[in-house]
Amino acid sequence: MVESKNGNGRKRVDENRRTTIKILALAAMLSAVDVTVMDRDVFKSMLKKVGLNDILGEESKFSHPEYGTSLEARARRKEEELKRLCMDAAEIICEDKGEGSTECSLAREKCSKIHVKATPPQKGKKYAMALDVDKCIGCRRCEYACVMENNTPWNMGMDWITVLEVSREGVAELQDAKKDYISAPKPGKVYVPVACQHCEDPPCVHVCPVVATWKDEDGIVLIDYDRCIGCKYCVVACPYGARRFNLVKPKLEPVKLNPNMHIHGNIIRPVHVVEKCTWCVQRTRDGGVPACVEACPVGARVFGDLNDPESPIRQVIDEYGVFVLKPETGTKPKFFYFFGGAQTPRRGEEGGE
Amino acid sequence: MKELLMLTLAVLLLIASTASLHIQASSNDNGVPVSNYVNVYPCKTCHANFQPSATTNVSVYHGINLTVGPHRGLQCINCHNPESGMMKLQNGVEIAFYGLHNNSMVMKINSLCGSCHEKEYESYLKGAHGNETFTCAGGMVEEVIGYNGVTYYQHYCPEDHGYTPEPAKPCIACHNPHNPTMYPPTTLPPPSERPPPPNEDYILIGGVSVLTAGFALIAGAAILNKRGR
Ligand code: HEC
Ligand code: HEC
Ligand code: HEC
Ligand code: HEC
Repeated sequence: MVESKNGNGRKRVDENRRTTIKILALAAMLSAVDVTVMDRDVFKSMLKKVGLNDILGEESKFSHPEYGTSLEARARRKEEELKRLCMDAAEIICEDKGEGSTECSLAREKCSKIHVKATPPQKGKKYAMALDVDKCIGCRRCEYACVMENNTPWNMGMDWITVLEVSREGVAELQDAKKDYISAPKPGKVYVPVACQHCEDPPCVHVCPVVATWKDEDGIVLIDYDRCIGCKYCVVACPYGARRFNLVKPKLEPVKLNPNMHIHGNIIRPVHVVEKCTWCVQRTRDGGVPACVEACPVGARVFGDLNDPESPIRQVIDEYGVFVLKPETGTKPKFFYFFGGAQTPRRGEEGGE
Repeated sequence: MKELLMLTLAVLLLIASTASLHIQASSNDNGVPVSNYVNVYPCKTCHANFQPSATTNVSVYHGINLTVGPHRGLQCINCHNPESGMMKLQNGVEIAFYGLHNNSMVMKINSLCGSCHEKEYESYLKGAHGNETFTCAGGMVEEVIGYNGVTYYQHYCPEDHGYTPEPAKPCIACHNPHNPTMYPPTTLPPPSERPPPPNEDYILIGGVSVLTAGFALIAGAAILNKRGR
């Protein structure tokens, strides 16, 4: 049977090409899904501190023209549509639980509060986040807060933050990282929450064929859900596995809904678009802090404006020095990791683990 | 004279311990152990009438032992003001408990900690130590029961601009002043309902069996091929 295939030369070429393409696609997918595969030398090079001058010197090459009246109008349309959908869902709740029930009135109140913003980036701001790996205890409260704040579906592994458990001893091998640990913190482990790194040179933006994703002036990488065609190139391109593809029709739950929405942020996403962490654009563009920063019980996360010398992020960079994940990819992330020194639980303290 | 004092003390103790507020708070919402018993509040029920010197660092009655732990070596008087009937701390702020008093009252205690922990206090005010939240004019915060019953605090702001970040929690929400080491709260399960990963043993067995089956197939194909010829 082998001969019969080889008899046709043209067919063989086709076959070869197809396998090559298949293997390439598989390799690309694996490298995207797996944040964790990395060898020892690469990991050592990863732990090279990035200097403040390098960080401040980096300039974004991308921006998105569409802000202002047209986007505002689109936001208003979306707001009306969402309010209608939400009210429909609220009616079902009211029928179920009765008109006088608290759920019913709460659902209606939430629906009437829905507000879709189209806030443009503030001039002169450049956001960054840093995470103290010594303090992080892997409790996943940031994941939960993120899900609630961003109206993310809970099924299908859509949560935007993934906390990895990595060994602290010796050279930490990211390939041994564990996502589904049950109890934490364990001695000898560090916990590395990974979400969108908001790179200065984001590969996901390069590959998008329809300019549906871009890096804004204030440093946040955003997605226009109406432009996204769901081709998933960006999911594959991201070296950190930070992007999620929306496989199911989103469920609108009025009681748990977060009515404070941004059109490029936590608005209820349509089905079959790509989504990811937006640094809670609905909060941060107006001066707030992301939900994960607020929820962290140990205060391991620091968020601020890189251009402001008084901001906490600058203090962290000056005082401790910061690392980035996978510097060899040249993405220049704006999500930093640092070792603050004070470990939770304190080492050598009885009952501390 | 001495006996009389002891007697009054004993009587006082008896009365106060029966009449004391029974608010049990063994850990706050983060699972951080706070004071052993908050049921001694208000302090002046006992301390208005007797004022121990407060220069010790062990209190049998209150179950506080400052000869161990990170604050070992400190004395009660470093933080507590005996003149006020123990109602005040050394920075002149009335004693308050996280979860019992409102946040702005408890926040005032921070400057006490700041008097010795300048660096952390500065970072804290900046937003680099402890976690941050934000406030806005006319805004409010609402508690929502989220996934897995974990509460979440949603912010409502009437205006789209001018949110101001500020420290979210007072020092004593994370650090018990008498034993300031922060103990980690419980770990939550991964938030999504995705199925658990397969057991690693099964992966190994599955891999080995697939390999053997593959080899068997190749061998079979080779033999058949020869026979066919
Ligand atoms: C039920 C009565 C009672 C109440 C209420 C009470 N204490 Fe005391 N306190 C005592 C007694 C009795 C002692 C001394 C015995 C000991 O230290 O073992 C004491 C000792 C102390 C001391 C140590 C002084 C020393 O020299 O030993 C401090 C500080 C103190 N209390 C603070 C407080 C504070 C702060 C409160 C309020 C939160 C409070 N107490 C409420 C009964 C009380
Ligand atoms: C580092 C400062 C500090 C020192 C030292 C200190 N306290 Fe306190 N204490 C506080 C603060 C702050 C509070 C109120 C906040 C809280 O308990 O959550 C408090 C609360 C208390 C309370 C009421 C709540 C509880 O924990 O039962 C008692 C009683 C008390 N202290 C007794 C003492 C005694 C006795 C000593 C000395 C052995 C002492 N404290 C030493 C800072 C201090
Ligand atoms: C009178 C000075 C003084 C005050 C007031 C004080 N501390 Fe301390 N604190 C100390 C000293 C001294 C140490 C030990 C430092 C060391 O070991 O390097 C310490 C250590 C600590 C530590 C480190 C614990 C560890 O695990 O190593 C924490 C956290 C802490 N204090 C929190 C607080 C808080 C919260 C308050 C306010 C309620 C406070 N301190 C008030 C003197 C003080
Ligand atoms: C959100 C929780 C949180 C708040 C609020 C907080 N801390 Fe901490 N703090 C931590 C954690 C976590 C650590 C590291 C583990 C430890 O030392 O217990 C820490 C460590 C410390 C240390 C030891 C630092 C070292 O390098 O050894 C001091 C001192 C301290 N905190 C003081 C304060 C003071 C003072 C305040 C209030 C102004 C405060 N903390 C507020 C979470 C908090």
